[in-house]
Formats: sequence, C-alpha cells, structure tokens
Amino acid sequence: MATDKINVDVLVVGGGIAGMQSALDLADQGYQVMLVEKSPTIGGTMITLSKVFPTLDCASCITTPKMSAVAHHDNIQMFTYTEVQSVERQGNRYIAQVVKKPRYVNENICTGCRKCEYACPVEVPSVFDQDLGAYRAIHVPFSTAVPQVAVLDMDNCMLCGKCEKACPVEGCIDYEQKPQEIEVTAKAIVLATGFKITPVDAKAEYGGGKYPNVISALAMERLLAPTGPYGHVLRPSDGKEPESIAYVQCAGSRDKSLGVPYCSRICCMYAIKQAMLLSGALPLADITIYYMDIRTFGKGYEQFYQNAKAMGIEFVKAKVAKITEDENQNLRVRVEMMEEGGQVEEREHDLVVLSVGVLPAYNPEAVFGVPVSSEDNFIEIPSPNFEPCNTGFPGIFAAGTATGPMDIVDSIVMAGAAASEATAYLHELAAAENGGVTHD
Amino acid sequence: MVDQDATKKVRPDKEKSRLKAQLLKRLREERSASVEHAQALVKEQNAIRRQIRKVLKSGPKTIPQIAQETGLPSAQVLWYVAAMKRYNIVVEGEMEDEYYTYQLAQEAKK
Ligand SMILES: Cc1cc2nc3c(=O)[nH]c(=O)nc-3n(C[C@H](O)[C@H](O)[C@H](O)COP(=O)(O)OP(=O)(O)OC[C@H]3O[C@@H](n4cnc5c(N)ncnc54)[C@H](O)[C@@H]3O)c2cc1C
Repeated sequence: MATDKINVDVLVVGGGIAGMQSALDLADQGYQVMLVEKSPTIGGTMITLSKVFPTLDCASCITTPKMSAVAHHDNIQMFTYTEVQSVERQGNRYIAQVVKKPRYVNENICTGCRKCEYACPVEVPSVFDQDLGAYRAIHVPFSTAVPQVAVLDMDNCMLCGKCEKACPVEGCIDYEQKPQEIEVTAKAIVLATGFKITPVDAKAEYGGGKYPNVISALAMERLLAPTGPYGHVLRPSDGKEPESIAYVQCAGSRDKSLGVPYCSRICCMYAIKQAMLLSGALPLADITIYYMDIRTFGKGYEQFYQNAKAMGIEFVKAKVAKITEDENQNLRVRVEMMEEGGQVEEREHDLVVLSVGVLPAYNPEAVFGVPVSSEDNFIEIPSPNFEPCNTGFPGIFAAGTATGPMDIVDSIVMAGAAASEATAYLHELAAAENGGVTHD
Repeated sequence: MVDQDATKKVRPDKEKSRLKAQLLKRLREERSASVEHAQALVKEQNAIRRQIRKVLKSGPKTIPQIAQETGLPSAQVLWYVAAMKRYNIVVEGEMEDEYYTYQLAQEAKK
C-alpha cells in the first residue's frame, strides 16, 4: 500500500473544542496544521451538549461555526476517523505514522444527503445520543457533523447493497475501502485528546446500567437537546415525562475506591445548569440535587448557583447510599442527610441523573512517549505554573481535558496557550535552523 | 434478495450490476461472521417493528399502551419508536397524561 506523505508545522491530535481552537490559533498565524480526530466527526463532547454554563448558549450554535472554520481553513488539513499509530523523533522533526480507517464511503464525493441511511435496514444504538436513540448502520453521525459524510459500521452491515442503490453518486459507497496510511512530518505536536466520563455503572449501588431510569449526565444533555433522541425530556423506561428528577453529585469522583480521588470540577456546574434547563422544559417537575458540597469555581459561577436556588431547585446536602427500583420503574433513593442530624430518608423520583466524573480518554505514553501523572492518569505537565501546556518533551504541548478535568472556558484558554507555546517553540526552532525565518 | 433487485436495473447497466452483485456475494462470504450477525439483527428488528406498526394501525398510542399490546418491554418499545420517528415512519401526537402518543406517519396524513 502506498503511504501518503504530509509535511506540516504542527500535528494536533484530537478534534474537540481544545484541539479545534489550537488548530485555528496556529493556522490563523500562518502555520500549516494537520488535525487528527479518531471519530468520524470533529466537535468532541461539546457538540453533544444542550446548552453550556455559564452563559446558557446553545452548544451546537457556538460549536458548529468552529467546526466549519476548521474544515474550511486553508492552513488546516483535517483527518477524521484517523489515529496516530507511532511517532518517532528524527532530528528536530516528529515523524508520525497515522492510519485513516475505512468509512466505506468516498469522503471526497459524498454529499451527506443521507439517502443511504434511509435505505439501510439495520438499526444500531446511536453513540452520539448515548445509545438512547438509534441510527442506521450507515449514517451521518448527526445533523451538524463535520465532515457531512456518511460512515458505514461494517460490524453491523449485512452487505445487502441497498445503500449503494440509493446513493445518487456513482462509486461513492465502497465496500472494499482499505485503511489509508499517512506519514506525517511535523515540527511540533499538540495533544488535545480530551476526556471520557466515568462509567455509569461504576457504583453498583446506584443501579446505573441496570435501571433504565438511572442515566448519566451526558445522556441528560442529549435529552435536553432539541435534536435529542426523543425530542423531549422523557424517561427511557417508558417515555413518561418525568415529574421528579434527582441528581446524585460526585457519582464517580472523589471516591478512592473507584480510583478517582480527585474532584472532576465540572459536575456541580453542569448539574446546576441541567436543573435550570429542566425547570424551563418541565415547569411542573420537582428537581433535587443531592450533594456533598457545591464547588462553583469560575467567574460568575456562584451567582449561577444562587440563581438556581432562587428558581426553586432543591439542594439537599446528603450522601446517596443506595438506589432501588419499584415495580413501576420509579426509583427509591436512600439518602443520609448531612445536615438535620444525619437521619436516613428514602425518597422517590422517576428519573435519576448520575453526575459522572471525568477520566482521560487516551494515554499517549506508548505512542508519543509522553507520560501521564501517576495520581490521576491525565497528561503530566512538569511545570504547570510556568509552562502550563508544555509536556517537557521538545515541541510537544497539551491542552484541554487531556491534562485534567476542566470546563469549556478553561479548555479554550489552554488551547490558545498551547498554540502560543508552540509558536514560540517554532520560532526558536526556525532561528536555530535557518537564522530567523519562521515559516517554511 | 440482492440478486433479484439487481435484475431490475436498467439494461445498459446490466453488466455493471452483475459485477456489483458478484462483489457483494464475495464480500458476504469473506465477512460471513458480521453479515450473519447483521442478518439476525435485521430479522429481529423487522419483527419488532412489524408488531409496533400493527398496534399503531388502530390509532395513536403511548409507549406503555404499545408495550402492553405487543408484550414487549416498554424501554425497548421507546427505543424503536424513537428510531421510527427519526426516520419519519412514526409521528408524535397529542399528550395523554404524562405520555406522548405516537402514530404512523401514513395514518397521520389521512
Ligand atoms: C454532562 C456534561 C456537561 C457539560 N456541560 C458543560 C457546560 O455546560 N459548560 C462547560 O464549560 N463545560 C461543560 N462540560 C465540559 C466540556 O464538555 C469539556 O470541558 C470540553 O468538552 C473539553 O474539550 P476537549 O477538547 O478537552 O475534550 P473532548 O471534548 O473530549 O475532545 C477530545 C477529542 O479528541 C478525540 N480523541 C481522543 N483520543 C484521540 C486519539 N488518540 N486520537 C485522535 N483523536 C482522539 C476525541 O474523539 C474527541 O473528539 C460538560 C461535560 C459533561 C460530561
């Protein structure tokens, strides 16, 4: 197989908000960037959110323009469904072997019309909708995916040929497409591989993964989004519009027994945000947040919390001990009050949201040599106070939740900082190599 | 199934469709494990969708009503109905107490 060769200034790994922002900041300064994203679309977690704290902007409305800016930038080569296999340092360059997985669709000629999707007879759980909804085995991941190109899930394909017949573009569906190998030469690398949520079933006593009405906060984001799986906030067991919704805070964080001793930082704020959005969507519903303490760390965040209290959201300082399900699939939540003398109460809710924590999505050590912290497994930054994005490896920087739990505001700030640190490095490199000319 | 469809193609493309059908046949053999899995899945899914459609023929229903009439778990019914709604087979109707009703798109047009 012929290996394509690409030469760039910076290789950005991860196409979430942090990776997109770093790529744009570098590209706007004239640097050549290759952005590599492992999933079939860029956007990361942010594009799956409903609205975002602290401004309550619609997430899709503010993420989609960034996604298209990345796709259309003259200085950015965007590779989705692509992963870095190995990286080697040669002199002052990194040589990366990357592999683009087969979509079984020709990306250059697919128009995103979705006729193939409508024709496909197989339905699979939609990853984008946290499995609450379904899409077809061949699908465009979601309506604002970038690129707007279908991807065929070959593991669930019976090769009936219906998609190909429905496709108006000759030769677009390619059942025999092979992985594409690319050799990338880059002067610098930005790691922005992001996070994943702690497993919803991490605490067996909460019944996540067992009871359909115990869901993760990310699933709630999809229920709240207008493009969500049901189009409304309904509980997954039977489509009932919930009347009483509870949040369990720290469900996966600050818990040594789960190997997550740290605070995931965003959960208080996203729970408060969702509670506010829910009281707008379901004005009659009771919303309770069971918490250990509320951490509103950012600018304007404490006010956000106070507003939520004023809206009538019930904040109960309590530890949730156990959740059980009754015959109507309502949930009985056993709580130990942390105030009022510590008595134990059992309360009924028809939907429970677990405020799951933040784990690193990727360990770069094997491929990039960059180690992770032994405390939390996020990318290690040796001097956070002086060079907050420098991994300590020449020309390798990191940004966003790949380095630890943080919100969108901080991810964007760090992405800009990583781009700045990278350009400073590129300047120095150019000075050393050819007496001060910085761009190729 | 595919070969049958292929014969319906316009004449000048006959050779091309024959080759395509041949290719699919070869790939189905090569990828028999995933193909068999997907075929079984489609069979099961078609059966469930057929049951849901049948129940909806008699008018708009809520998820628990569909579940009761089909004997399927209500969570599963919701998953299928949500997909049918996404692909315009089912449309949402009025609410009945705390539940939305769903009806077949073709019935709703009448
Ligand atoms: C339920 C919930 C609600 C939230 N609500 C808010 C909110 O309202 N406001 C707010 O500010 N923040 C919110 N957040 C936090 C926000 O989602 C994150 O701060 C933000 O998405 C982090 O962006 P990122 O780019 O660092 O990571 P990600 O969004 O995780 O993006 C990383 C990207 O890298 C890709 N990737 C991973 N590994 C590789 C690899 N090896 N090779 C190539 N690509 C790779 C991933 O596929 C992904 O696309 C919320 C989080 C959750 C869980």
